[in-house]
Amino acid sequence: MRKRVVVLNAYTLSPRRAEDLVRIRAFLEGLEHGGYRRSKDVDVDILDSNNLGEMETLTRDALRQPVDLIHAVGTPNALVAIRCGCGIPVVYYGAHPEGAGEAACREAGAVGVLTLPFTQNYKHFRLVRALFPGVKQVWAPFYEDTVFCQPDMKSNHRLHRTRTCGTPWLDGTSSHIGHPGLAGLCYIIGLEYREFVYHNCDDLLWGLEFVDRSNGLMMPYNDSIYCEGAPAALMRFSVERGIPLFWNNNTEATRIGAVAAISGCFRWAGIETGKIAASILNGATPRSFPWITSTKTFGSLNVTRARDLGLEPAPKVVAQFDEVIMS
Amino acid sequence: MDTVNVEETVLKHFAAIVHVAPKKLDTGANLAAEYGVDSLKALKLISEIEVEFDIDIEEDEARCLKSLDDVVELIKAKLGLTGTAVRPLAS
Repeated sequence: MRKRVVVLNAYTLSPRRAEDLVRIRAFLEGLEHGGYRRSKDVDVDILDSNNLGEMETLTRDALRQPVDLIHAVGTPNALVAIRCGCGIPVVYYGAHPEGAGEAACREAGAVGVLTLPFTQNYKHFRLVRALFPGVKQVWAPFYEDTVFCQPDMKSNHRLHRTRTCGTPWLDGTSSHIGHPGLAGLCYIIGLEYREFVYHNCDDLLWGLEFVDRSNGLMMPYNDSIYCEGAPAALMRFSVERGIPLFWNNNTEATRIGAVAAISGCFRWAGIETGKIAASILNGATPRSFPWITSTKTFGSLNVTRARDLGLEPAPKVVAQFDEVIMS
Repeated sequence: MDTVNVEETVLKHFAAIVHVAPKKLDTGANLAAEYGVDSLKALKLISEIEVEFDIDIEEDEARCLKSLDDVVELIKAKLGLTGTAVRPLAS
C-alpha cells in the first residue's frame, strides 16, 4: 500500500509555490534516494502556511486520513506536528537558537537535524562586521508568539516596558535579554545589541520608531515571519529609513529587500531528513536515529540593495556568499 | 609585523577590553584571576587578534591561553616569528 507523508512548510517570504522551494525539493530528493518517489511510491501532501494557528488546523485536517510520517520545516512546525500527530513519526530540521524548543522535540521522540544557525559561531558572525563596517548597533526584534520567545523572555520585556518611559528595546548588557548568545556575539565583534519583543505588526511598527537610524542594522529571525505583516513592515522600514537588514536563517529575504541573509543549508537538511523519512517508512524506528548537527550554511547577498544603501562590499566579502543577487 | 609590534598590538586590544592602560598590564598575569576575563572577553580578544593578524586560532589553542605572554607566543608561532627575542614593552 502506498505510504502517505505530510509536509509542514513555512517561512515562505517570496511568492513561490512550496513545491518550487529548495527545501521541499531537497526533501523529495532525499525520499527518492531512499526509494520513495512522489506520486508513485508515496503521496506527499504539502501544507504551507506562515500562520501557526492555520498550520495546526491544516495539520489536523490532513491527519483525518492515515498518515505514515510528518516532515516539519522548522522548530515551530515540529511542535505543531508533535501536538497534532498522536505518535506519528516526526522528522524535522530546526535551528533552535538558545536551545528553544529542542527539549520538547527530543522528549517527543522527533527525529531532528539541527541546522546550527549562522549566529552560533563568532567566526561566521564576523561577516556582519565585514559587510557593514559602519554599523554600531544590531537591532533584533522578536515576535512573542513563537517558541523563540520563551515565557521568561516575554515577561522580562513586558516588565521593561512598564518600568521605562523610554525605549522598549532592551540593551545587550541587560541580564533580562532573551538571546544572550546573540548579544554575546555582537559584543565579541564590537557591536551593541538591542532586543525588542512585539505582539503584533502595529506593536512592531511602534518599536521600530525607537531604532537609531544613523548606524543600525536590523536583524530579524524567522519568528517574524509568523507575525502577519511583519516581514513586509521590516522591509519597508529598511528601505524608507535607509537601514540595512540582515535576515537570520532565511535566504529568501534577499529577494524582497534584505541586503543579506544566511541560513543553515536547507538543501542539505532537506535531503538528510528525506533519507531518514524513507528509512522510517521502510520500518526503521525513529528513536534509533541519532540527531544530526550541521554547521553548513548558505548565504545570499543582494549587492544592488547594498549599493542602494551606500555599501560597496569588498570582493572577499562577496566571495563568502553562495548566492549573489545583482539586480 | 615584528615581535614587538605583536606584543604592542595584543596589549592595545586587551587594554581596550578590560579598560586598563596598556603600560599597567602584567603580561605574565593570569587573565581570569588578575583582569576578570570571562569567556566572552576572551573570545573578543581572540576574535580581534584573528582579524588583526589574519590568523585562525582553534578552540583547543584558545583554551591554553592563560596570560598575555601565552597569547603573544601563540601569535608569533602562527606568524613564524618564534625564536626571536621579544623586547619588553614597558620597563
